Amino acid sequence: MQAWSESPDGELVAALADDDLGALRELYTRHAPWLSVRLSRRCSDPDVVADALQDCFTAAWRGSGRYRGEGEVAAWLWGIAVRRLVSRLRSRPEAVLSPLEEWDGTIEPSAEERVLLGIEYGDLGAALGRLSPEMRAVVQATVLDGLTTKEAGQLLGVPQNTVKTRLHRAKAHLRQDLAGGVT
Amino acid sequence: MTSHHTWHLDEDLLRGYVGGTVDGAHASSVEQHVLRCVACRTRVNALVTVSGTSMLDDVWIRVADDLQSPRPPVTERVLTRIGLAADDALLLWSAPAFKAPWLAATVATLAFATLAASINDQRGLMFFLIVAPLLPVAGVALAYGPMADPAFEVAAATPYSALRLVLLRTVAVLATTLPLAVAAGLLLPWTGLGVAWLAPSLACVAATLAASTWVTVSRAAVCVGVLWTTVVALASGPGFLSPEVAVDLATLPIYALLTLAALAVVWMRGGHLNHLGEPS
Amino acid sequence: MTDIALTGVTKSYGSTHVLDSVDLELHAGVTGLLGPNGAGKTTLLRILATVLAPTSGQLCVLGNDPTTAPGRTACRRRLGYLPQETGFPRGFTPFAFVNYIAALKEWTDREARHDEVRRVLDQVGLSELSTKKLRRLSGGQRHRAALAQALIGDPDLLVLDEPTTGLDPEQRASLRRVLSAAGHDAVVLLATHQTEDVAALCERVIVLDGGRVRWQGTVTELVATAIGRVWLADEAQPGALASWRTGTGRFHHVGHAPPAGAELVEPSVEDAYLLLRGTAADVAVA
Repeated sequence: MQAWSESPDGELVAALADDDLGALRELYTRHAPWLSVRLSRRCSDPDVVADALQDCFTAAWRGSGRYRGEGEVAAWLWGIAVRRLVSRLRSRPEAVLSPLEEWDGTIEPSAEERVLLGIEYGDLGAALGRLSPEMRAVVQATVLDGLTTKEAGQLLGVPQNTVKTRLHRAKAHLRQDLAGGVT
Repeated sequence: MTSHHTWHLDEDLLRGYVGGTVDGAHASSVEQHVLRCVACRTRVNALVTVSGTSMLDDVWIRVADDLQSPRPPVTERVLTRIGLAADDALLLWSAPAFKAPWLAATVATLAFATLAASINDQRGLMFFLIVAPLLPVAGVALAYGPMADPAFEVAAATPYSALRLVLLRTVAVLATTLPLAVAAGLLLPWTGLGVAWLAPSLACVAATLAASTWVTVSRAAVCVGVLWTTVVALASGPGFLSPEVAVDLATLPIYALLTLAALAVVWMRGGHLNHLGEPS
Repeated sequence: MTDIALTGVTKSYGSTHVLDSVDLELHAGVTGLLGPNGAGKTTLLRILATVLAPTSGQLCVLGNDPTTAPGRTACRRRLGYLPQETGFPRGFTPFAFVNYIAALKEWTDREARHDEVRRVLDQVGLSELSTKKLRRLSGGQRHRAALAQALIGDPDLLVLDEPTTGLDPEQRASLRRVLSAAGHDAVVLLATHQTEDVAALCERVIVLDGGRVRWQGTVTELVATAIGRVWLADEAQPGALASWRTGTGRFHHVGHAPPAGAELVEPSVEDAYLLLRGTAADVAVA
């Protein structure tokens, strides 16, 4: 019997096509926990999150052939998970999580926060931090999570046009911010 | 890709993220990092599992069950919908009648019989009248015993009623062979033949089942086959006009009575059937 | 309490007696049924598994009479049977196969049945392969799937026909673990022609030959019958029932009359079995 704990993620995914449940179990151990947290931050209902997580791994099993070895398996799994979440939310719109923070329009990240954001995104990170929560949410959904504007609308519980508008404005803000501030 | 991360997430930030107190761009930041850094991902996982794994375990069981459970084909779902108990549907679905080789053989035989019937009138009709009603009989003979179920010896030691299993599988056989045979029969040029041969067909199947409570099912099937062939041959011989006499409207009540009598025998002696296809 | 009792059980086909007036009792624990090929072991197991009816004799299996239909059904509800060879329906995975047998064992509730299937597959170490088609698995793995179905429902009587054939030493060891665990509460009867299995696993042994019970008792008692009749020598000595060259270069002898002053050794189950069977052939092992 194979010991999958030593194998890299890519090998595990390849083994899925071979009907190896042990490989899926290892993938689950490595990725289900962080996926569940990331999903919970987009949906407040734990049952919907559990369903999406379940759908994610069954979809990964059935669609393992579609992973072509480009990019991280983690990113591939997240792509599946977030789409499964959108799918589940279609019938449960009240479970959508809306941005929590208050925004008074003048948020200035602290020095430490600036370092954090700087390391991950460079200047973009700081600029992102200066966006309003609604705009940041659409940027996260479309740019970071890789959803279409339609899917983002379903995830955030807003019409697709609203997503497009906010995204447009967010990009304008970011362009202005990055062009204007050099440091 | 993940090897050159010299910077890792601060412990407080990680806890805050998992605990739900960190939000906004910082959270996105953590998420993007976790996608690429195995070390921090493992730390996130550890924090999640510490706070309780029952949800994760439950979801895994659901995933495993979904993937392990044999996917019932359309037939089983249809059966469950018309009220058959789920496990009966499962056992029925495993019946060889639904399997491709049996279906292929049935279609081939029928095609040949139909072809023969349409080429040569009297002899062909006789051939069709012999073959079509006996196809389900062959199916029943194959429905249990070593040929039908590769795991027959294991199945023989189970408490599930052999009679019930045989009946379920007989239904499966009838459900597959009869529609095909009816379709073939309707293609034939003789009017009035239509579906009249269904009566002897059912009688033959019932007789086979009844006989298999005394002798092995293959022997029972052979006996019934020989009997029926004789009946058709006699009907086509001198003194009668054509093989159709065997399926004349006047004979239908006879077949009906035979069927009922045979079914009564099956009901009474059903306990003698066992999975090995031998009476006990 | 006697769990299984056979009295005068005979199975004949025409004038051939495959089993001839067999009397035996079985209790909880692992019992070996030892005998050469053709001794009637498979027939006896099939009768105990209610798959075959005896020609004559009385049987009491777990308080039921398997010669009646209701008695048979009652037995089968507490029985697990592993035949010598098992075929599998086409395209089945281990899960699908064990699930199918569980349905035949009247596990009607889908969720409970699936949980039980997973439990027995886990016991035989097939959890991770439960989704692979059986035809793609090795012989040993298929064998484990067949064993798993026998374990469904923790049966009170486990009947196994040559369960260790074709298994490598590691697989045999894990099989022994499973059977010895089952033997705590259940009657486990395994037929084998390998004395090592009896030595490693069984508390009691029944020796069957030519359809008759030649000997029955504990393994210790069987071995004791060979005390003083097994010896080592530097050369092969005639007059022994069986002798062979061991790995150390010396000759192992089994016989009824050891020469005076012979170097006696501790007998094994194999030695006792050979004595019992009285084979005259020399078995030379390089």
